[in-house]
This record gives sequence, C-alpha cells and structure tokens, in this order.
Amino acid sequence: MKQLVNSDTLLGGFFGLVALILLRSSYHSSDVFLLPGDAPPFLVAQLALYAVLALSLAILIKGVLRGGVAPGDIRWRPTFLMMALLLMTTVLFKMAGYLLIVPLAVAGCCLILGYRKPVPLVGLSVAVPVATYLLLVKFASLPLPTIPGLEF
Amino acid sequence: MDFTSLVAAIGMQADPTTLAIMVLATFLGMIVGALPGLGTVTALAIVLPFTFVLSPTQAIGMLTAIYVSSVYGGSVPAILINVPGTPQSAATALDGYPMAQSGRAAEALGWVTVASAIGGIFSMIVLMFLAPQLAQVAVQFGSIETFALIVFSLTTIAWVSAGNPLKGLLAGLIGIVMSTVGIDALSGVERFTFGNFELSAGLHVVPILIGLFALSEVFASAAQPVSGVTGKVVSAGFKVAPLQEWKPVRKTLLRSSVIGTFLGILPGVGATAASLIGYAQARSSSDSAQSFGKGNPEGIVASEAANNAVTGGALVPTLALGIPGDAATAVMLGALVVHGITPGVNLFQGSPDLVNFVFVALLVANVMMLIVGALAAQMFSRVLKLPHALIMGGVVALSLAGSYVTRFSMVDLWVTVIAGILGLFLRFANVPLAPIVIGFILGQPFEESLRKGLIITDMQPLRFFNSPIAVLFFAITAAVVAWPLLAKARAARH
Repeated sequence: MKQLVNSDTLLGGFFGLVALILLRSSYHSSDVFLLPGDAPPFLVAQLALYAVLALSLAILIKGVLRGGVAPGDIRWRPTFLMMALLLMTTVLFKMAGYLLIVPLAVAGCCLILGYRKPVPLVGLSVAVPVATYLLLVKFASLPLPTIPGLEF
Repeated sequence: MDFTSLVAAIGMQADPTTLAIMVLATFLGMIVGALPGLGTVTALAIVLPFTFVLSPTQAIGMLTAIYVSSVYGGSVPAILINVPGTPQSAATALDGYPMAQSGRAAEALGWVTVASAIGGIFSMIVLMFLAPQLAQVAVQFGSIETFALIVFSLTTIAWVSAGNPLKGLLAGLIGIVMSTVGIDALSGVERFTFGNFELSAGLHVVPILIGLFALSEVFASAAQPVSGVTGKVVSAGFKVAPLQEWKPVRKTLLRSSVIGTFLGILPGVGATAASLIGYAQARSSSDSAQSFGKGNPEGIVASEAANNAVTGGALVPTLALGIPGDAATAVMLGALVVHGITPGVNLFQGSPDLVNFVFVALLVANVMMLIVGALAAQMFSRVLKLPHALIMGGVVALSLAGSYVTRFSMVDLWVTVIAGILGLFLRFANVPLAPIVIGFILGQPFEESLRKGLIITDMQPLRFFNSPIAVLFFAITAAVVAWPLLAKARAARH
C-alpha cells in the first residue's frame, strides 16, 4: 500500500471521492419543479463534477503508475499543530471574542514557526489584533466578536 | 474617448483622501511584494475586506496601488539578497544582484523603479484605448458567445498557467463547483448546502482567497520553514542613471513594455512569463549579450518593464469582458463586484466615469510607485530583516478578522481555514491555485450563460455552433488544448 502513496494518488483519490459524494447528493436533490424550457439547476455542477471525477481518475492512474514517493522535507508536527491552532481559534472565535483569542493564535503561530524572542512576540501578538480591532470596529463600525462580559 | 468623463475621473482621483489611501497602499504593496513568500495576490486578498468601508473609487485606488506596487516590490529582494519576492522578479535578480554585489544597489533600484513605472504607464495607455474598443466588440455577445468566451478563458488559463494541464483544469473545475454552492437564482433550489442556512447565500470569494493564498502560506511556512535573511543586507538607497545611459536601452524598454502588455491581455500567461520573455528578447538582440547576467542594467530594464506592463494589459479583458487574465486581476474583478461594479460592456456604457477612474488610478499608482520607491528605498534592507514568523503572525490576525467581517458569518471563517488547509494540500500536489479563484469568479457567469443559451436553443447544445463567434472561440480553445499535445507527440516520435 505504501508503494502507492504519492501526491497524485492522494490528490486523485481525494477529489474523486469528493466528486462522487457531491454527485450523489446532487441526484438526491435534483427532483425539483422546473419552468418549461429551463435547464436543471444542478446541470453545471454535475457536468463539472463528472469532469472532476474523470480528471481525478486520470491523475490517480498516473500516480499509481508512478509508484510510491517518499514525502520531501516536510515538517509534519508543526504543520498539524498550526492546523489544530487555527481550527481551535475558529471554534472559539465567537465564544471567546476576537481580542482574546486572536492574540493567542498569533503568539501560537509565531511559537510554532520557531520564534522565541518574548518582547517582539508579545508586542506583535497584542499590537496587530488591537490595531485591526480599532480600525474595523471603532473606525469602520464593522463588528467583531467581543469578549464575554466585556464590550470589546 | 469621452473627455468629459475623463475630467470627472481626474476630479475623483484628486480627492485628498483617495490620494492619501493610495500613497499608503503603494507603501504597503511594496513591503508585501518585497517579503518573500507573500505576493500580489496575498496582498490584495488580505486588504480586500478592509476596502468594504471605503467608497468604490477609494477602494479601486487602493487595490490598484497595491497591485502595481507589489509587482514592483518583488524586485527589491531580487536585487538586494538574490531572492525574488515574487516569481515575476526572478529575471531581475539575474542582473540586479550582481549590480548590488559590485556596490551599485542604489543604481539597480533606480533602473528597476523607472523601468517599472514606464512599463506600467505604457500598458495603462494601451488599456485606455484598447479596453473600450474590446467592450464595443463585446456588445455583440449574447449568452452563447459569452459561454464560449468563458470556456476559452478558463481552459486557456488552466492549460497555460499550470505545469501540469490536468491539474490546472482540475483546479478550474473545483472553482466552478464551489461557485454553485447556495440557492440557485433561477429555480430557487438549494445546492450543496447540506441543510446549513448560512451556506444558502453561497460561498464568498474573499474567504476563499484569504484561505487559499494567505493562510495556506502560513501552513506552508510551518511545513517547510522559510529561512530568514541571516547575512548582511546591502543598504540600498536610490539613484537614477543619467539620461545618456537610458538612450541605449530605450528600444529594450519599449519592446518589453509591448511584450508585457500583449502577454497581459492573453489569459493565463502572466507577469512571470512576460519578464522572462522580455529578458530573453533583450539578451538575444543586444550588442552586449555577453554582459547579461553580470550586472547589465538592460537586463533589469527588460524584465521590469515587461512584468509591470502586464498590470495594464491584464486589466483589458478584465474591464472590457469581465474575464480576468490571472489571479491578481481575478481578485481585482472580485473586488469590483463586491463594490457593486460589474465589469463588461455595461460598465463602459453606464459608468464611463468609473472606467476612466481606473485608467487614471493606474497612471497615478505608477507615478506614486516611482516617488514612494525612491523615498522608501533606504528602508527596504530593514524590511527584509523582519523575521518570517512575525510576518506570518500578522497574516493570521488580519486573515481571521478580514474573513469574518466579509459577511459577519462564522461559515466564512470556516471556509477560510478549510481553504487554507486545501491550499496547502494543493501546493504539495503541484496544483496551481489561481485557476480555482478564476473558476470560482467565472462560475456564475458560466452557468448563467450556459443555461440561458440552452433555453434559447431549446435545450440543443449543438445549436451553439450556429454562432460564428462561438465557433471561433471553441476552435481557439481546441487549438490551445491540442497544440501542446501534438508538440509533445511529435517530440516523442523524433
């Protein structure tokens, strides 16, 4: 199995599967009333998905023929940590408020990327979100989620 | 040329707030362009949500200034540290870096700045005269012709811009599928919303852009660390060569400006190819070809005039037809639509003031690039020393805020993060990201024109071939697809 893993098999497999799921979903919901002469609402989506499926299969076959390739110089741990950090930030974004969660996310991002100098780290983590908040909320009146119990 | 609306556009441009915003945007664009890893599209994507609070003219001015100056900004690290800030500045490094090493960094930046401004202004003049003519031709386009034009553009962009055409096409199709999410405007049917009310309004281009280009860069930095500048960076300065030194390169300047403008108009070719072709042409026709790559200013002029001339060229189909030529103009198109401006023939007929404002803004942006570039040159060596991790931290804060304020929707924030992860995966698989955005932006007009065309032809798509214009576009599309395949087959046979 390991001999088949490369970027093409993963790409082809992933998008082939997504195309199949979306195609199935489109046929389940395509039973709708249409005005006479109108094209079905899922027509373009289905055409595009069939094309995605065909291209994914072509890329998958190409990948299988190429055989397994060892991943290059990729640091998996920081990558997954960064993904977890941003997913967690999104989950807590509305609950915790922008000015609480985003400085933590910025600091976490810098730490994951290997930056350790405390003063610039804290300075940036606070300054950029606060400046963005002031610009958007105070100057432009575009609301961002506030910290519970506080008005900012 | 409607001079009354041109005067009105100049009046709009003279607004002090607009000018101040453009100065700031020029400065910002240069810095983002100069930072390796970021680039024109990332800069535009991050800034786009912040333009929601501006008037349409201020927003156009800001985005135009960032577009022009970030292309220029990429040449600064190419000269000072031999690392192009953007791919389109790769050819500039060939002669710019040797010049900097021999103690002529200020002179090299002078050549870059002036050549970039001249290339940009040349393309603006072409845009000013060509775009209205193209819009006049587009008056004759009905649904079927529009459909054929979009098929041609999408196929060409996907086929030409990618190293692997299959992956380029896949990317374009992913964009089209994403554009179909939400309630169908014609039938009212919900598509791919999976019962989520917030998805009924469809996906928005801004979170997709921010995720694909900005957040995926953050993830990529974690996966493959970007080594910061460790050695000493030359303190640059700015020095324009005397007029007599410009005389021998004036032909190169003109040739590269023409090449850049022409390639900018063609879908999918872009500034990187333009600068490389401009450089190669200059080298092959120069009397001092042997000094290219060793610090010949003509090489810098050739590359920079070409890559900045692309900016105006790429806006020709964007403004006249609503078809973006590359990812940067796709963002510009998205920004115009967000501000209630729909490019195309109706824009030229209904809002000539606004069209002329774009021309004037492009001219002003190029002049500002010249002035701000000269004034800020001394500061670039410090900017290049900024730690990459801190820059990425800033990108995270701006990306999250920008995505949320697009529609104050958590779905948009989720789309951003998921698009970021998808963007990283696609980068690893060598799938170009630009066709996704272009596919997404053109997805709606593609669907509308196809469905209207089918209604007109009584659901018989073969009758699309009754239109000569559509046949022409389909034939060119087939040629674009077949040509590299035939060339490959011929090469394999020999």
